[in-house]
Amino acid sequence: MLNLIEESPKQQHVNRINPLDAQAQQDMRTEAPISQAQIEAWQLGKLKNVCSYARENGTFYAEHFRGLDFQHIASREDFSKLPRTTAADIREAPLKFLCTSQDDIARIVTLATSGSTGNPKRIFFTQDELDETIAFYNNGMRCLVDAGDTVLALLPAPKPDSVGTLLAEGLRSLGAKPVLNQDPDNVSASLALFSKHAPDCVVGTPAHVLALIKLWKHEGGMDSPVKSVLLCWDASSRAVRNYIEKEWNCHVHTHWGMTETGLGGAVSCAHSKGMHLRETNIYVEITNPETGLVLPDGERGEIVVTTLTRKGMPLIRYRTGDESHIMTEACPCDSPLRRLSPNIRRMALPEGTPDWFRFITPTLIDGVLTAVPYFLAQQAQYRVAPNTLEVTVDMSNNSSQQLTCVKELLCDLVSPLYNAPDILCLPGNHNKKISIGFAKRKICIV
Amino acid sequence: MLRAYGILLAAGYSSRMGRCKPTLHLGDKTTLQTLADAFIQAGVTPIVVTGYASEKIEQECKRLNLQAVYNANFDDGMFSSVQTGCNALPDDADIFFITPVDIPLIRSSTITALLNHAAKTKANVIHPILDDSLLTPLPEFLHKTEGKRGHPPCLRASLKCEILKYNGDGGLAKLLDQYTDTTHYLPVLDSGMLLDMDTPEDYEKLCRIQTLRSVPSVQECYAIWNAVALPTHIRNHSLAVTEVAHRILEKIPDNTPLFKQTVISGTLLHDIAKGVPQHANAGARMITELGFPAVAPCIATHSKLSATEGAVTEAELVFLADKFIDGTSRCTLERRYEEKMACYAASPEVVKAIQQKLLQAQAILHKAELATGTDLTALLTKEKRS
Repeated sequence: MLNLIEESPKQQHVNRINPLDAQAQQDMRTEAPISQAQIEAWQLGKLKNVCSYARENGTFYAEHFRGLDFQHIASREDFSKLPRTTAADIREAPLKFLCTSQDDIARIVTLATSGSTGNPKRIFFTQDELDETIAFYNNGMRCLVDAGDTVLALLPAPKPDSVGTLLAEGLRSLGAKPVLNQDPDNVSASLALFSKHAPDCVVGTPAHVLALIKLWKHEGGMDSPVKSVLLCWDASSRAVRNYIEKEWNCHVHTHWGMTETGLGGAVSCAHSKGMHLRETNIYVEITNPETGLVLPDGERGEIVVTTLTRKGMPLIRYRTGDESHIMTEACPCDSPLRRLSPNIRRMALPEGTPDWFRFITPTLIDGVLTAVPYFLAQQAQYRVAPNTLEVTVDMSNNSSQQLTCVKELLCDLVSPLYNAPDILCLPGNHNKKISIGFAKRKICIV
Repeated sequence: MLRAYGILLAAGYSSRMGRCKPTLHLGDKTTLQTLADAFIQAGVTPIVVTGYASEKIEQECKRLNLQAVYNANFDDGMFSSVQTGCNALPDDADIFFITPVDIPLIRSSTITALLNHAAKTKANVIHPILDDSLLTPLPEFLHKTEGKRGHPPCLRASLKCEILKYNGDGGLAKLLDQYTDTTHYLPVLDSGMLLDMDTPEDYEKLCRIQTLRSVPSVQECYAIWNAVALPTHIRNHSLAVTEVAHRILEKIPDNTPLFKQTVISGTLLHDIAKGVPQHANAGARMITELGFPAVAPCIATHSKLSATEGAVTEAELVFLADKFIDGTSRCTLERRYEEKMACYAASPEVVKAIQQKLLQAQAILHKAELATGTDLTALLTKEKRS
């Protein structure tokens, strides 16, 4: 006997107007559609204000900007002549950046340094700033989800104002239902939530989302309910984005942000691969890393960030150490908000790394290994002597055959490179847990 | 003379090859060099776009004295490399070509043909196609759908801005679809422009083809038939002759110093000038002009040839195979010449000359039988019965 099952086609989420535009209009106190030129003029006004404010209220910028004249700043080029702020400046004396009383600070985020020496970076937020972030999450998520949708977030939410909690609040205020797995390294827990709630949208790091898909497939998953995915926290390769889109038949959005920018920074709309900037909260410059001067759109350079509205700990011309570019092709959504390319990479490589190091990134390796059925996640480290790339692979089952397959794929990947390393593959977990965590991933050198 | 540039895309991961494709050797030259030389010979300046493994490829560009530009966004896919290449085009460009380095065996004659067509027309986009339909040339309205589209597309410089503005969805092909009104499809004699080199198996195949490049492939022979509008009955005759050649070649030991591909293309093309006075010499001239001088000797001598000393030659096998076919049917040498002698029974000088020809043909048959160790007349006529 034939069973006829009527399938309802997945409703793809497409917004005709970019929801981030509405937020920008509100921030700029206008109801009319805004142009790029208007945004630029508005930003220049804000930039002058924040420079004066920071110099008057904080000891770091009082020193840093001593004797400078802000009123003559008439263009992006003029602004880019101001001196830059570095991560080292914040590490050295975070309190010198504080421009309000410590009583106004609602949350402090402490970022472990990537190097082994030095103090961790501490970033202060006031309640207003946390509210702004929630508003951005609300509007940003409107690019992906509708009221009534369920969103599975694979993000830490251990404390009241951590990123997972802020996202959950942003989602609730737009009428969506957040489901959180606070320990996304536990992939079977993610899959259990996925099966129970059939989410319309999944938010997480590229590695955690990938591991969830791999386990879902391994355990027989078919016809996913997911219509959109938001990849955040970390860089993603095209291969990983394509894989997610194909396996879940969904649209993949990317988000860029860092704690320094108040967690939210830019997010891609339903049409585009570029990420629309949160122009009314942060001002992004693509700069020549040597001179600090702003580059024309389309050219790659260091991302330098200025907070436009922050009162507690404004950052002005903060060097992120990341490289990207402003995309110049038209976006079908017609938003005036500039777009940052998702192709974001660290600029400076650790000393003593070989030439090929800039090509091989954790997410690139993930992209190649999507072809291996049991693959869930991997961590790589580079051993200088002998020239070896050591990759520890977490799999959904213990299989030496598939480990060999991993090795072959990685050998193929590196062999076109100059001074290609040998590949050593080590078995990692096979208990459906992975060891990724939330630090930005990189290949460590030992 | 149009100023033309060739954007050669060499920024990909070579992941299915597992080796750096641009620096792999195809014969004496690297893949990149093979492709770049085809452009240079046609008067086109190559611009190489690098990305993944750029050190190695830039080094190779330096060795070859080629301009290289780096695409930092290579992970975004091939279209980002197309854009990087367009950005690097000098302002004086009239025309540009775009092709991945994975298709290294494009013939220089293809690029020249595209350039000539661009100079004569106002087309914005010209795609080379291979028309290898077997019986009759494709009518022009079928070029777009039935012709096999190869590389490289030839683009008017005015398209550069459009490419730089495009968001990349569907790649270059999708963008070029917007120009269907001003797109032309030009038949060329080139099967190499269809051949991808993605896997180690492809690479092996291309290495083999590379050694045979001076001779047209079977597909190219069909394209030549269409280019010269060869009548159907001659096509059928040529196929019958080629089948005989194929039977004989099967019996030739592998270590014989002989280009089998030359014999096959020789038999397929021996009558391309049939109907023209002295059609053998005319055919040889024709094939030389089409860019394949290596088969000209086989065509020139296919009706009249004396056996030489030494091993059996390609030309001798083409000559011999032709003698075993009358129209499209198999026959023996004797019957074929006897029929002719019967026609000219009234003029003894002609009969004598035909007699002489028969002797020459028999001498070549003898050589071929020594080389194959086979009674070819028995082989070919026995088969005919079965």
